[in-house]
Amino acid sequence: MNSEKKRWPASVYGRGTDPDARFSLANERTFLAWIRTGLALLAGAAALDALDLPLQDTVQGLLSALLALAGIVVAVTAFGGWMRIERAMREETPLPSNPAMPVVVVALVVVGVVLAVSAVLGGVVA
Amino acid sequence: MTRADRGAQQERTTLAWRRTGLALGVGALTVGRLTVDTLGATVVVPLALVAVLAGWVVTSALRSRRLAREHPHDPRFSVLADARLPLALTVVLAVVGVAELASALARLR
Repeated sequence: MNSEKKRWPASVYGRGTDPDARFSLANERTFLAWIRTGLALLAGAAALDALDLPLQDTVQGLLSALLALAGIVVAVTAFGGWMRIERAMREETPLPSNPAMPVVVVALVVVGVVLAVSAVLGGVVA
Repeated sequence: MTRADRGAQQERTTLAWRRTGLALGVGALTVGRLTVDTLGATVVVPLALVAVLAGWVVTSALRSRRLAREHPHDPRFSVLADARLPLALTVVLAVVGVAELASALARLR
């Protein structure tokens, strides 16, 4: 086991001991699921940016920017979350939660409500 | 140290990497195509970076899978035991996000 190649970052791999490989792999898949969630948010942002909706340009731009911001936050916290979970598993401490969850919920609720209202009002808003 | 893989964990994880990498590639192209109209040719630079990184993610995941198959008892290859790939993925997504954010803000002017 002395042939361990250098694993980065030391803030994760320098602590504790390797957990069951299955848990590390599950952590990795959770991370990847967050990345795809972020990508979906960005796809929504791009759609809002490109589609012609019965919304004022400013409103549409703001909604799109909100989704894009949420996507960026999800991307960054996905990585931080992966590190913190891996570290917690190595040190056998309780698993932390992911702070991106409320961000996703708030962004989706705001965008959903505005889109629903605009759909009901039709062209009235524009 | 590492026993035979139960539940095809390695396989599932490799597939997750692969579809994430491919989705990022497609997502980057889509965002690029849409933001060229609002941001102009400057989006080509970050998107080229994104394309290279996305390709690297997919090939690394495949290589890792192959190594795990060739060395089933070597713990070094039992997981994608490093944070470089996750970091690359995060950077890719953040770059696409910033491009999209810039495009949305350009609409506000």
